[in-house]
Amino acid sequence: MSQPTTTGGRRQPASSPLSDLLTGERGLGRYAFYLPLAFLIAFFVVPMLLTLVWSVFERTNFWMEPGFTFGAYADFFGSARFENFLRAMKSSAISVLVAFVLGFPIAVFVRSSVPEKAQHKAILLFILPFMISEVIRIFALRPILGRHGVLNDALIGSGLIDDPISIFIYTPTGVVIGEVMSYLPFMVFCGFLAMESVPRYIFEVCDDLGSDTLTTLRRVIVPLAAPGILAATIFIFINGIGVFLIPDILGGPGAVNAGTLVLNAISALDFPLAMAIAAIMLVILMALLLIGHWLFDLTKLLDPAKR
Amino acid sequence: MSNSVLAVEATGIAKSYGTVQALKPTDLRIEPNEYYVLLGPSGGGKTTTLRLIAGLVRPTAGRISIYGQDVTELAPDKRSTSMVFQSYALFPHMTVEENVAYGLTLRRMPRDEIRAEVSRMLDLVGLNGYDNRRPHELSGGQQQRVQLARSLVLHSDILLLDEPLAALDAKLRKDMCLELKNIQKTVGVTFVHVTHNQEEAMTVADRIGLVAGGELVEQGSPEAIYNRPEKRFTADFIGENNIFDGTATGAGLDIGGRVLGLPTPAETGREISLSVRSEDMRLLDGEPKPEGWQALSGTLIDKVYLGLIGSSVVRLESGQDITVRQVGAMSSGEVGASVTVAWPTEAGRIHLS
Ligand SMILES: Nc1ncnc2c1ncn2[C@@H]1O[C@H](COP(=O)(O)OP(=O)(O)OP(=O)(O)O)[C@@H](O)[C@H]1O
Ligand SMILES: [Mg+2]
Repeated sequence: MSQPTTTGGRRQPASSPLSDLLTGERGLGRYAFYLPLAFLIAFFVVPMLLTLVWSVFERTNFWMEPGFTFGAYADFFGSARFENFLRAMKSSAISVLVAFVLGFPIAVFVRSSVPEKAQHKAILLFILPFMISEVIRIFALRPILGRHGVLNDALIGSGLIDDPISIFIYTPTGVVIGEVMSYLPFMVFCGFLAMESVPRYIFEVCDDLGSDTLTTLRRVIVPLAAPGILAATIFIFINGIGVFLIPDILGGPGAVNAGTLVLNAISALDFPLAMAIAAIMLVILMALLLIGHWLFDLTKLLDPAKR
Repeated sequence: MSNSVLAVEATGIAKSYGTVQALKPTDLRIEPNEYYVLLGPSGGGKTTTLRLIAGLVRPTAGRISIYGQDVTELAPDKRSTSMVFQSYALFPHMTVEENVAYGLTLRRMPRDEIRAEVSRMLDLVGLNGYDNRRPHELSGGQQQRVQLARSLVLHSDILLLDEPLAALDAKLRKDMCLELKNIQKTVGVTFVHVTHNQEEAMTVADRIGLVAGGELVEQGSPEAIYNRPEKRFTADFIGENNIFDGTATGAGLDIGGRVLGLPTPAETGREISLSVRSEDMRLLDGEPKPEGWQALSGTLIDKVYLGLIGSSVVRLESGQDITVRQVGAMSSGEVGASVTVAWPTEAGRIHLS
C-alpha cells in the first residue's frame, strides 16, 4: 500500500499552464481583489462623470454636442419642473417618516421578542416581497386602494365609514402609500441589521433600570441603530424621488417625480436636461451619504465589531 | 433573627418554559445585608431564580417578597432590585459616566447631584478618572465595575449579579471577588450572586445555596457546605470527595462485600452514601492501619505532584477510583503498585439522600 513519496512526503498540487495563469504566483489571480474596484469604476464612477459632463453639453435636435452651458440647469430651475421636484422630495420625506414609524418598531420587536433562532426567518418574511417585480407589487395596490377596492370595502363593511374614501389612490397620498408599501421591508431589514449587534439583554438592562419603552427607544435603541435607519432613509428617499412607477400607477394626473421628469425629458429628446436632473439627484444622494457617514460612520452597519 | 423581616422571601416559586421545568417549587430566604451565592452546575436554574427575584421573568407559581413587600406582580423597575449582567451589558454608545448616570437621569435627579453621585460610585468601584471612556475602551474587569456602579448608584435594596465575573481570567476573577465582597460590606446591600465557580462562591459568600436540576439542593455557609454537606449531591459537587454508596448495617456501610465503619450508626437496611474528603484520606506506606481508621486496598493508577499537595488516584478492587490528596509528602509507591487507602472513621459523612 505504501507509495514512494517525494520531497518529504508533501504533495505538490498538479500544475498546468492554465491553472498557472489563473492561480500561479504570477497569475491573474493576484488581480482578483481589484475586480470590485474595476466594477465600481466601470459602472459607477464613469457613468456619474458622463452624466455630469453631458448635462452641460449643448442640446441639438436629436442628441447633443460637446459644449459648456448651464442651459439645462436654467431650464430645470426656471420651470415648474423644479416645483414638481420639490414636491416629490416632500412626498418622499413623508414616506420615509411613515416607513420609519411603521417599520422600525417591527425591527425592534423582532430583535427583542422573537426567539434568537427564529429571528432571521422572521426578517426573511419581511423581505420576501422584494422578490416580486416592483411593477406587479405596485399595480396590485390598485384593486386594493381604489374607490371600490378591498380597503374601502373593508372600511364600509366594518361600519367605520359610509361612503368610499377616494384619497387612497390617484392622489399624493396614494403615492405615499405606494412608497411605504414598497420600501417598508427595507426599513425593517436595515433596522434589524443595525439592531443585530445590539445585545438582546440591553432591553432587560433598560427594563431593570426603569427606562420606559419610549425613553429606551430614544436614548438607547435609536442611537445604536442609527446607521441602519439612515441607510434605509437614504434608500427610500432616493427611490421615492427617482422611481417613476409609483406616481405613474398610483398618483393622480400630473403626479410626477424626478424619474418622471427625466423620462419626459428623454421623450422630448432633451438629453442635457435629463442628464442635469440625474446629476442633481446624484448630488443629493452623495450629500446624504456624506452627511450620514459624517454623523454615524455608515460602514458600522456592515461591521459589528466597530460598535 | 428569624422574626426580623427578610430581604428576599420566596415561597414555592417555580418557573416552567413549556415542558421544561427550569425551577421546581422552591423556598428561598435571604437575610438583609447577606452575601448570598447561588452555586450550581450549568442549566440548574440559577439564572432563572435570579431573574425571578429581579422580575425579568414571572413565576408560574409561588410568591416573592422583598423586605416584606409582595412583589410577585411588580415590574423589574418597581422592585428595589438591580441587576448586574454577565457581560456586554453596558450601553456601547455612552461614556462610563453616562452609563452610570442613566438610571438616575430617568429619576429626574438634578444634574449636579447626579454628577456627584456618579463620581462617588466610580470611586467606590475603583474607576476614578474613567468618566469619559467608552465601554470598548475598557477591559472586561473594568466594564463589570462600571456595571456594578450603574446598579449601585440606584441604591436598590438588593443587588443581583448573574455570573458577573465569568468573562474574566482566573487571576482577575480572584481580585474582583475580594473587591466585590468589600464593596458589599461597604455599601451594606444584600447581594445575590450567581456563579458556577466554586472558588468564587467560597470567596464571596456568607451563605451558599446549591442549585441543581431546578431545585435548591442545600444551603449553608461556605464552611458548612464544604465540611458538613448534608446531601450526596453537595458532597459530589463541592470540593473533591470520595463517595461510597451502599446499604447501612447499623454501625457499618455494606458496599458490596466490604463493610465500612460509619462515624455514627445509621438505620439498618437503608440505602445511604458515605463521603470522605480526599484530603482526609491517606495512603498507608506499609504501616499498619491506625486504631479507629478505615482501610481499603487497591492499585495506584496515577500520581500527580501539584506543589503544595500531591494527588494520587487509587483503583479499588470494586473498580471505584479514589482520590487521595496529601500535603507535602507523596506516596513512595510507584504507579501500578498495590496500596492501601485509609481514613479516620469520624472523617466520613453520612448522606441519607
Ligand atoms: N427562555 C427559556 N426558554 C426555555 N427554556 C429555558 C429558558 N431559560 C432557561 N431555560 C431552561 O431552564 C433551565 C434552567 O436554566 P437557567 O438559565 O436557570 O440555568 P443556569 O443554572 O443559570 O445555567 P448556566 O450556569 O448555564 O447559566 C435550563 O434547562 C434551560 O434550558
Ligand atoms: Mg445562568
